[in-house]
Amino acid sequence: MGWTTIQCAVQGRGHLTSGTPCQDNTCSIVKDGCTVCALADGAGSATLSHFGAKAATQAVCSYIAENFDLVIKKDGVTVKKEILATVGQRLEALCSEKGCAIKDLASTLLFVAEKSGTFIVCHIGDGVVGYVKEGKVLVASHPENGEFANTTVFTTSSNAITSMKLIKGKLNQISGFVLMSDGTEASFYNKRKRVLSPSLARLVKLASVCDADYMSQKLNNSFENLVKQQTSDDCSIVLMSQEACGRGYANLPARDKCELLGLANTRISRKRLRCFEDVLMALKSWGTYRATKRKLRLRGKKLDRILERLTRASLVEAREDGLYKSALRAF
Amino acid sequence: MHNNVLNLEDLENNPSSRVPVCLVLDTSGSMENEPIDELNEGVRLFYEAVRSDETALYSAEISIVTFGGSAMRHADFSTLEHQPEAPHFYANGGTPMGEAMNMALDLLEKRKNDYKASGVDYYQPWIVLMTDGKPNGDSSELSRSIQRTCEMINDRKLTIFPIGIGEGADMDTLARFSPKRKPLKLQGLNFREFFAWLSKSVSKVSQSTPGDKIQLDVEGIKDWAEL
Repeated sequence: MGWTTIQCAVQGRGHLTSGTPCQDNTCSIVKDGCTVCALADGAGSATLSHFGAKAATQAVCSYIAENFDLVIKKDGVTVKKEILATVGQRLEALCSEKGCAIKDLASTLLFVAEKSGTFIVCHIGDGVVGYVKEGKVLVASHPENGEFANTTVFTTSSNAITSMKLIKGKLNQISGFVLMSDGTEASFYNKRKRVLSPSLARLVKLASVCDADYMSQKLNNSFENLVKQQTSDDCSIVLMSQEACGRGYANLPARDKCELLGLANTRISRKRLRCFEDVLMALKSWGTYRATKRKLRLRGKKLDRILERLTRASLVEAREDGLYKSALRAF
Repeated sequence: MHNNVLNLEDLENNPSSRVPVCLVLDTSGSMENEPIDELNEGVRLFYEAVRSDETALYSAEISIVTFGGSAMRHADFSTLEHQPEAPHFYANGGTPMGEAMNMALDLLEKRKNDYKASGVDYYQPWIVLMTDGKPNGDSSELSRSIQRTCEMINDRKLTIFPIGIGEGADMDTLARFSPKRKPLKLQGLNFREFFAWLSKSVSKVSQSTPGDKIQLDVEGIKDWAEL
């Protein structure tokens, strides 16, 4: 089973003003059939926390990718201790290198790992871990804040082990996981209802069929233009999406295609899907509007309407010089 | 050109994290004339400064309790978006400081419960206690309010700024409210400078993120008070 991992971390507006680097870090590793993604948000008060966040994500990704089969069999308390020890050792080494105290490297830590249909989720501090099951976005682990908005738990906190959440299970119908920092949480997690935005399901679905580089670039644009405008904090996200099998988009059920295109799942919509697919097939490589229209023998403004919807749905890439190309991954 | 994979309507609209600030102000008879005029002007300028700061406007929730004859709530916790005008105070009566502090702490508890019920994040609350005299309300109320305040401060659930105005201010009682920070004495009637500093500090807190240590600008305090 293959996973596509799309990640991005953008510097918050507050950090841009103060000249502080982006303290969020993301990392992913695929090794021996195990896919691991991690995200860490460096503590605002810790001067070198961007180094700490990077060390934490890298350490935990390597450790889990190499030891997944052993870890999954152990009891939870042992695993929690081992994860904290692994991260702690990496941070200690970094302390010697940087000549700093361990608290200067404090960060939150979230990761998800999957191998052979079994997954592990782990979470220390704020941010959210979500998952997509049968098209619905659900919360695997809620943010762990103290009473006040600017308090949380870090990898270096004395109470890290007691507040750390560790979940394992079988994938069953789970098609994707989402990790996010608290900056991103402001845009995708409804604090009152304690639920995640349904738009994440579409992102996970899109990641499963679109070209990874294209999707990364689009996600980064959205974070720069929209998500980081909702907060002064750094914003980061990791989408771990199960790759669509077979012929990718073409193999998706009509309901999923309608959802990606923003169409209501009705009989009429389903009939229109064919036109969209023809255009996507015709635009496997960059093509002009005129050539596509001629090739598909489309009349009037029909191609305009199709291209408008496909570009809005991020399934077609449009260049300013008038060229179009399908954003779907080649299968 | 559609450069984003998301639209604004895809995002959740969470309320801003709030900074509850309660001003507990002495409006007893001894504040008459210039002190009360300066206090009114200081609070008015504080409101103006918070209103003009985009982050503070949506984050700072200000409540005002006065003690002049009796404890009185002039404004319940709310952002200045909803209560833009500063109340006006008149000097009158005795100095029931304990009653006023208890009222402030009750309002604060109630507001924190509201935040929790509606999923609004909040920062550590602040109380600014200002007086030019000695408390002369019920002594058991005073003891109870001191005990409640100290417990909250020691549990890191509250920050207090006790401020004495003029030579008659009972600095010893103010000190009993503040186990961690010495009370401050206002230089002359420099309310304006104090409230300008307060609005800047509120703005700074409202922009802090998890793990941030709020470094209050102590140098800035020296301009308006004696440590």
